Amino acid sequence: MGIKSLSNSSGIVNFQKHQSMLAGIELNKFHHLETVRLGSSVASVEFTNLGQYSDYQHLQIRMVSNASTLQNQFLQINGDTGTNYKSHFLYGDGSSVGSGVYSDNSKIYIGNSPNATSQFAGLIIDILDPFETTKNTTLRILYGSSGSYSVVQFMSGVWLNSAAVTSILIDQASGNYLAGSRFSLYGLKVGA
Amino acid sequence: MLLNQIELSSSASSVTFSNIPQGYGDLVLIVSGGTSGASTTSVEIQFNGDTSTSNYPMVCMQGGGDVGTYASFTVSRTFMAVGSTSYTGIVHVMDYSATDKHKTILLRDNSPVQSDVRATAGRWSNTAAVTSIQLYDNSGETLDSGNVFSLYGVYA
Repeated sequence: MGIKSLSNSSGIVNFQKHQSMLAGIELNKFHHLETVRLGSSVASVEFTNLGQYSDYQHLQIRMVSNASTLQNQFLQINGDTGTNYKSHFLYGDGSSVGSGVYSDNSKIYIGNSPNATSQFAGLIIDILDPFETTKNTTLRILYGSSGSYSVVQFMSGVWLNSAAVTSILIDQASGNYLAGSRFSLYGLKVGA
Repeated sequence: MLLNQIELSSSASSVTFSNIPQGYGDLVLIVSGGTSGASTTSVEIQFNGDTSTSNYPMVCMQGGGDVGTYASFTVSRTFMAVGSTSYTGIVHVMDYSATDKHKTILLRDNSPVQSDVRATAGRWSNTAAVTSIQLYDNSGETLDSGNVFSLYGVYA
């Protein structure tokens, strides 16, 4: 599904042609950086020293999680615990579709961890331009859990700070992530 | 990493990725194409030949752009609508090779003909590693010539 043709009649003067429907996101520029796979319960997972990955344009976290009790999950950047975040969500829970803003601005809401045996929530979190210092860092999130807790969600988050991202903390309202939960960090390069 | 790509040169009743290599974290399946069927048909997925209806619970959220409708529903069946007649979809199979958990599936698909935009969370209620994926039309229609199915492995 590559772009077949473009004209410059609309003012386009430079473009790249991609052969993939992932235009601009060639998978050979999508690199696995780190994975934390839990062998026992922990309260949180943190990726640190992210400056070493500053040659990447974007970061992605892919994770599966469950918990001892159904819990909200959150993300914080650079250890900032101030009210410097915003979170919005669009969800379907099997009976209705709704949207809202998360009320606690001290963290970014990233969905819930289910608490049923063998059932894990899945998340894909894109962290856009985390090393740019001219803009706040924005996140887009695809979340889903099907089973004892069934919800699919799109979420967005922003960290209202233009500093480069150096660490990312993922935790829950309370309790622990259980063994088998997995947190993987990827980097995405763009351009030639 | 691209593991396999199937482009149909003629219509087919189903497509199967078999002997899927283990050792990656997630699978990403990208589908693009259509079926010869009526608009109510849908392309579905099964893992490891498991035809158990109750093994594929999912929750969907969809919007119909041209009429401004939206809905969310849960079903449990032989899995997974990725559109009909004309569709594109990206399917993420999380921790597909793990044997300590059911497999969580995240799906985004669009059906321009039906004007549907949809997100789905699904689960294969089985702890076995995914070794094969079959796609087929649930009403027995054929997958059109030109359909493209690309399977990627994502390290973790």
